[in-house]
Amino acid sequence: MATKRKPYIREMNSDWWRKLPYYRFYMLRELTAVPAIWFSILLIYGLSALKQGEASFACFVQFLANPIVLLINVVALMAALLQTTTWFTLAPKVVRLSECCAYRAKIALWGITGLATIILLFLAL
Amino acid sequence: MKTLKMAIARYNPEVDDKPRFEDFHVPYDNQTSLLDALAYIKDALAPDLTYRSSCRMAICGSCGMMADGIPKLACKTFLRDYAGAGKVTLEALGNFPIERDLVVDLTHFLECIEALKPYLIGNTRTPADGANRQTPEQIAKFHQFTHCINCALCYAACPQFGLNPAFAGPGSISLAYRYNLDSRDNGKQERMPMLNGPEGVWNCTFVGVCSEVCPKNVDPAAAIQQCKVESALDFARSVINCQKEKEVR
Repeated sequence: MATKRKPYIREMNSDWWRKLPYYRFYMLRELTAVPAIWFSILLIYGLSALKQGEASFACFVQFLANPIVLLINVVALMAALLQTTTWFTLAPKVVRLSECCAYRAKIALWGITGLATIILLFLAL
Repeated sequence: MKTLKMAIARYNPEVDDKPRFEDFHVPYDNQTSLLDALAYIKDALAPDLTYRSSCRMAICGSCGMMADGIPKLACKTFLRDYAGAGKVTLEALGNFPIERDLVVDLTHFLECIEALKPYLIGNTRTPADGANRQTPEQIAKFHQFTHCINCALCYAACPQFGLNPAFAGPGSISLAYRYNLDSRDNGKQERMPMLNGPEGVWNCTFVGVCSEVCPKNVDPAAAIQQCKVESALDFARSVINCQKEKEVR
C-alpha cells in the first residue's frame, strides 16, 4: 500500500525575527554592528586628517561638531554600550564559569571598562 | 468550572494541503496542563486529534509543541498561565516537518544525535576493573549537559536551524560536548569532524534562545560556544600537526 505520509514543511519568512521579543532583541544586538562600522570609518578619517596636517585636522574637528554627526555618535555610543552589556553577559558562558564566578567576572569586566574609560577621558580632556 | 479557548493547528495529510486552526473550549483548574487539556479534547471533542506524550512529568521529552509561538513541553505548561489572554494557540513543534496535527518528523534530530556518537568511546575498562571513578570536579564539567531529555524544544526555537535545516543543532551538539568533557571518554577526535564541519557549531550565531526555552536548564548555547573554542583549538592543532608532518617528509 502506498504511504499516506505528506509531511508539511513550514516556510521561514524573512520577518521571522519579528515573532518573539527575544528574536527582536537579538536583531537589535546584531544591528549594533552598523554604528560600529560608522565609528570605525570616522576614526580612520580622523587619523588620515591628523596625518595630513593641522588644517586638515581642524576640518575634521569641525565635522565632528556638526549636530547630525554628534547625534550619530551618540547613537553609536548607545549601541556600543548595548553590545558591551550583552557581550559581558554572554562571555562567562564561553569560558565555562560557575554562576557565582560568572557574576564576579561580569562585575570585573565592567570595572575594567569603567577604569579604562576614566583613564582615556583623563588623558583626552 | 472555568473554560479556556484553545486554538489547535490541525493537519491531516490525507485531506489537508496545509495546517488549519480548530477551536476547542476546555474546562480547567489550577492543575490542568496543556497535556491534560489535549487528553480531554481527544476523549470528549476530537478523537482523531494526534499528539505525542508519555511520562507526563517532563522527563521523556515527547510532548514538545508551540504554545503561542514559544516551544513548550505540554506536560510542564499550565492553562492557568494563559487565563489572562483567555486563549492559547497550539501548533506542532517549530522548524520540523509536520506529520499530522501536533506530531512532527524528528528524523534529522535523531540522525544528528546518532552521528555525534553520544556514548563513551575508547574506554578499555572492563567490569572486573570496578567502577570508573571521577572526582566531583570532573563530573561538574559535564553534569549540566546530562540533563538533556531530547525534547527538541531548542531546535524549534533556533532560527539558525530554521534557516538551515542541515545544521546539527543545539541539542545534539550539547550531547556531543557532554561526552567530549567526560574524563572516561576518549572519542573526541571522532566527534570533532562533524562539530567542525559545515553542519557543525559555526552555524550558531549565539542567539541564545535555545537556552531560554530549555525545560531542563541545560544551556545548549553555552555548550555550543565552548565547542567553538574547542573547534578553533582543534583547527590550530591540525595546522601545527600538518606543518610538522611536512617537515618530517
